Amino acid sequence: MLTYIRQPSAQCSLGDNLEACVSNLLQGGLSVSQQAFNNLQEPLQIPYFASASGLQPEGFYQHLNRFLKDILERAQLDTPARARTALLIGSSSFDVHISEQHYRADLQDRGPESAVPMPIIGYGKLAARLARELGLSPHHYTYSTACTSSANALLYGRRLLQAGLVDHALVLGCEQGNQTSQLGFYGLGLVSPAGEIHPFDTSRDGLVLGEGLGALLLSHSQHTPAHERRWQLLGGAIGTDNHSLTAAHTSGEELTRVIRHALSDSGINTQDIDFIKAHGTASLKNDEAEAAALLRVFNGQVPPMFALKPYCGHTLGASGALELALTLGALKQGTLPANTRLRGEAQLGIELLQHTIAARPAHYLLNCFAFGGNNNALVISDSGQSQ
Amino acid sequence: MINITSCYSLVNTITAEQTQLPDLQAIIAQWHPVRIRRIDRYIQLCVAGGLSCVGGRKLPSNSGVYLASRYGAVTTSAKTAVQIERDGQLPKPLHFINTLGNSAGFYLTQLLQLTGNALVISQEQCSFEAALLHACLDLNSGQITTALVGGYDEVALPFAHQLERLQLPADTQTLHEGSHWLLLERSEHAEQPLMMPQYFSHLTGLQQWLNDYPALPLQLCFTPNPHEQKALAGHRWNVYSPNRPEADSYSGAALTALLASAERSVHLNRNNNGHYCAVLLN
Repeated sequence: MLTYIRQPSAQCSLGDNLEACVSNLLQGGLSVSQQAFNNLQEPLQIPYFASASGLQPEGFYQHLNRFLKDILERAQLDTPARARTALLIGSSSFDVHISEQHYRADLQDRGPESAVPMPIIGYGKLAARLARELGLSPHHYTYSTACTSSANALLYGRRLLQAGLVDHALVLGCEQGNQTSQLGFYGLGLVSPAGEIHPFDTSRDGLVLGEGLGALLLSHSQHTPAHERRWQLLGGAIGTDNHSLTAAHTSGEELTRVIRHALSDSGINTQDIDFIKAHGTASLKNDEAEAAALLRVFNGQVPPMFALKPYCGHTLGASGALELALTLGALKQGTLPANTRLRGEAQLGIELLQHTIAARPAHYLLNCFAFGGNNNALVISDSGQSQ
Repeated sequence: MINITSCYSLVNTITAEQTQLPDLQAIIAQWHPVRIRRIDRYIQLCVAGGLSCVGGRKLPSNSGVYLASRYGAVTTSAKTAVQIERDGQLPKPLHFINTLGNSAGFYLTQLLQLTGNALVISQEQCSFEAALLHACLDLNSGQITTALVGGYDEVALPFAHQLERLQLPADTQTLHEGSHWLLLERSEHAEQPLMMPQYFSHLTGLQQWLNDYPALPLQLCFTPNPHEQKALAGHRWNVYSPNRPEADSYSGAALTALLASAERSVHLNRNNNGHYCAVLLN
């Protein structure tokens, strides 16, 4: 059974829709802003890739509804087809930004003794609400494995299809700007002081967070129209590296294992991989671990790689779905993105594409790694054209 | 076939007056004598339940771990919010890390020396069943031979705050924390076989499915409304702990309790969308 990927959609700092995002991406454009945290005793500013649309918290639920509804309409899924469509959401923060806003208001209204911190709880509420509003199947699941959340959702969307439980799986990765994530990463010392992301580069000094939405529709081959049979999700794997809560083991041993497992699950060999979308956070140890793993898997001959976080930031739980959507958007335009802003000499034995190149029918490996040692690797194929 | 090798369930009743929660470190110490430092209540629930279910067995390193939580690490997330919003401070790094969905799984997989598939899944009232379904998908497809499935949720104190979060009446006197686990193995000869959870959009679909099992007793994790009572009229059924005000991941408690009955039976749950989930226990 083949799993086709359809209707990639994206919103992030690069633009309000996939076409705008990819256009900016391929031109090397990026827009990092400084987020002010004036409520702190020692106010500070943190660089951030804020969404181009400047989404307001009160419109969040309706916005997600419209974002997903648009995909279902473009895919022409009628009521019976929607009832056979799973919804899988991956996020590291869900609607915590709204919870923060409510607590802030509560502190004003009732004072510090009575105000309830974290008033909105329930990981699965968002998926249940959207599934109900959009008339989707009872298979609506939420994944919360930090930065791999939506990558894991993609993998299990495929597995639900393979098991014949649904005909389609709508996968959403979402991450909205919130104080907990931004200040949490800042407090860990992981945010780039320079406000730039330079993966695998000597100048790398950390990451910059971002917000965004990425969504894709996975469909069983029998339920995919011929004109949308271009991209397949061939397989993938999840692995656990419990060496450290906040960083992969720099030996790359566990990352090697998950990549090899993903290739095996996809029924292909290392030499079949033509290009790699790196996880590429530009944090010191994670880049070291990813580089070590890729050198091991590909025996020193690592295929051409690109990284997307320099352009849209690290969108945490959304990154798996968002970066896949951006990759497919670039393929649709026939061009692979490059990382032209890298400074200094590439180190760690691998380097990213310095110039955009023409896309061709190929197999792609997409890496996605997370805090808590949760790692994901996916393999997709691009036939270059629809049937 | 999928065999249930082991199950474990822990439920603590927390009262409105209670300021100290029952000790979980003692349960963990039975399996891991060295005290694990800096883990919060939510992680303790995961580790205590997971280790107790595994019971000292050596699992294959690629065993899958499928964790279910309806509400996540509420206590630590609330502490982090207080640090930021009320106190104007940066969150403490360890607090921030422990707010993440998979931090609990990190400690458990480290203790069990597991390096395979690990997930944290949620689906409102059916979170435990969701984790179970994912485990069954991977066992049935041959991805893994062993799966550890656990559901856990904490009661975040102060009690009154938790009642507001759960939108429960202010005079509610008790809440429950719990940790509920199954150890599953793929096997040719299952002594306690388990079928993959079945989901239904409507009562009619559930009714049709149940018609194939007319003699089986049903255990419900919800109080049936008149329509449901009518639909279930031909079956023997009972409601698991009907007096509980809020069933968090307690469908896990219900399912593990049903396993103890040693009778072929069906576990039934329902979510707020009116969808049903059934698990056939042979």
